[in-house]
Amino acid sequence: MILELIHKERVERRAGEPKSAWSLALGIILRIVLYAGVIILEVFLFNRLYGKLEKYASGSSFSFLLLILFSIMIIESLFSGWKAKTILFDKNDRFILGTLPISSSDLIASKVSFIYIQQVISNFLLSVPLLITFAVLKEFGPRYYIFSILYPVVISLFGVGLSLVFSVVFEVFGRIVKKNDIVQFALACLGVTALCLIYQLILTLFLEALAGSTTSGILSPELVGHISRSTKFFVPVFYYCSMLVDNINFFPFTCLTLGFTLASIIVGVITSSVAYKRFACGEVEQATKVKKSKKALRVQFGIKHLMKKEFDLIFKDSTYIFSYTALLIMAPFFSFIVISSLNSIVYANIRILVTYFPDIISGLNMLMILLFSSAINASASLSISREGKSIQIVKYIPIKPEKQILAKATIPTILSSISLIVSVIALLVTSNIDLMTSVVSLIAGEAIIVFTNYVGIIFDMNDQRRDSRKLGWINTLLAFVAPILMFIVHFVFSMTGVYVWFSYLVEVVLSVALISPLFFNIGKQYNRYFEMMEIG
Amino acid sequence: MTKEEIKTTETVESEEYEYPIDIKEVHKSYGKKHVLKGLNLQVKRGEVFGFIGKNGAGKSTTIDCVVGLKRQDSGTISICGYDTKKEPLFAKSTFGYVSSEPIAYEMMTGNEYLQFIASSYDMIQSSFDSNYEFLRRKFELSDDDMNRRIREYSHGMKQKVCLMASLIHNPEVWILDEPTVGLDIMVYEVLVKMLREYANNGRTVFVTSHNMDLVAKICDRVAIINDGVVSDLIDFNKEPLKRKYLSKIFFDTYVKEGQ
Repeated sequence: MILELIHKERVERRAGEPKSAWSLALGIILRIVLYAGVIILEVFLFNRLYGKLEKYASGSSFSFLLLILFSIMIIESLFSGWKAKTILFDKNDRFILGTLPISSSDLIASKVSFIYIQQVISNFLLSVPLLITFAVLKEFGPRYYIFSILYPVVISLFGVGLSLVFSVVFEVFGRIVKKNDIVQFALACLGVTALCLIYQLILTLFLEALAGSTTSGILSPELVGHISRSTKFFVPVFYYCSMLVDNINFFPFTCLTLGFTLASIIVGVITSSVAYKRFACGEVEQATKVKKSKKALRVQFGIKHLMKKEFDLIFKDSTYIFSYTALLIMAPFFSFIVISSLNSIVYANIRILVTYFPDIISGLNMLMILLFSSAINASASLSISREGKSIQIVKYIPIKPEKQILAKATIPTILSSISLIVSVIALLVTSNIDLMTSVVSLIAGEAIIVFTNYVGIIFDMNDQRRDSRKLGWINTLLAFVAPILMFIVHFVFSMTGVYVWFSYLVEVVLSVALISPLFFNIGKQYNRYFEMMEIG
Repeated sequence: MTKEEIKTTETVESEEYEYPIDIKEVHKSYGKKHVLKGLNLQVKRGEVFGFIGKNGAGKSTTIDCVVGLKRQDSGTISICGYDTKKEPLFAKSTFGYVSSEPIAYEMMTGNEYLQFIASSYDMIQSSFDSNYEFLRRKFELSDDDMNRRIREYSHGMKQKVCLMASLIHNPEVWILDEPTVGLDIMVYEVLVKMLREYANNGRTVFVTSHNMDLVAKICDRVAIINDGVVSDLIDFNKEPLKRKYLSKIFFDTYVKEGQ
């Protein structure tokens, strides 16, 4: 029974994947390439930092390894916790399984097993290469390799316990914040800030690994010393890895590893079982307190009410709060972090390239600004899919299609434009980009935003199956192609030594060309697409 | 389209059309599947018209074509004299529609949603105020309920708000697809009464349902759709006895066709 339930979880998680053999094969190949890339990058980074840390003090590379492994375990548990929340507290699942004669313990066991298998796989891909690299560098014996391969099996057990606790925390927290848009929005901003900072940290580490031969900057001797002193708190990674390198204390370290793992599993299973029975087995959600609205209900004219509806769809839907709104707010901060780090990396490490192609940096900066702006905007440009089932309301209310489409495209365009303008000003004020790059980035960015928003609506109206996932991919691809095209222009002109202003001119012309079809007969075209669009 | 425009056109057109819903030779296919095969149907003013058929017979496709969610391949559909293909906005302004599944903007409160719908129909403020209050009381929704997000509503409450939204602009034609699903017995009775009253006031009601008792109880005429065409049209005013045997007639239709 448990095996069948695990299989059901697997099938459910893969429900959205492509079904044709070609797309499946392509998906697998892309995944393998992605995993291989991540493994190569982390091994390269660790290898470079290892040499530097060993110069600082012997043993600091081991502490650093423990820190990375511990970080991987925590991040993995957080992600698994999020997944576990969906797996454990899924409403539909509960509705179907709740009526079948399956015991709660079987259900929980199957779900826990599924999470465990996923954790073992990802640990095997992320942690084992690091352990093997370390063993190769330290020239350890075969026992170390065997235990390295067993690492995911043991540590994932601890991770599962942790994930289960996290899943309950997420579920409880989600229930509290679900009904408060402002809290959701603040949380989303916090989340994106944290991701920006992690990204900056990884970029800086990458820079450290590339530059010079000693530790400096973020990996200061003080920090390395601090990491070495803190390793014993990296439970149970510290004990498992110490068991590998310390022959004398093998038995106590083994006991401590198993003890912590068991404790984590017990706490996780008990917490999630209690939560599962409480949340999943018939607890009724409490309604929110209703705010007494004293505002008189006013009928609005023109497209004001349509604009308000679009605004509500973006700002009051948790899907968009996390995927678009928060990113939009954080885009200037994100652009600043990435572009300033990028400038430092390019100046510090590929100075020769800059000597030969002086305009390459402005081109790269522009590429980054455009990529962030258009990629973030692309997540909100499928305005028809955003309606979900309520798209039928759009179809039967007596409002001209042009008006509806205008309202749909205007809101994300305005929001994305504000974010783009703030990003460019912030970069200009902090001297990360020059005036000319700012102006051209603004023009090109605006053109791409307008283009993707209007094209997104056309895609959406033409897709009878409302396959927003597929459409999202096409639109995101478009959002990436346009900035890359601009960069290619910049790069080619830089290579051929033509004046930089000429490349700027070409980019502006390209931007205008991109949106020019929108000025010709677009109202009638949209009208036709709208009338042809079928719902249901 | 301004309010004045609608009013003027309505006054001119109202004398011209004979049937508030006029469906002529409508064909609709999904790929190779031919669902509507030359459907003809005329609904008279002031009647409650029932539209019944087994699953897959073409009921929902017909309604979808009437309200503009789908486009018929050929044939014409007119609502209050407006061709749904040639004058879709005028046609849409004349009806109120309730789908089988209650669909509304769930991130809005009940009040916000009704405000949105009223704005979409360019309603006059005073008409909105009076209609709103009348409907809110009729469907027994409190101020607190109306200030709550629709996503927090039960199925029945969502259905009530959708019913309110379909009537807020006082439409000429009221189109309902399986309207009683999920309603409690009290609201069910209110709705049944309202359907009848609406028709008695000279408006037209077009309703589909699997509930034979409901159809037999409230409808003036009933059309049975089978395999994309109307296979039987019953006028209860002329043959009142058939109200009693509607279920039997319905089953016989399919038995006769060998299905």
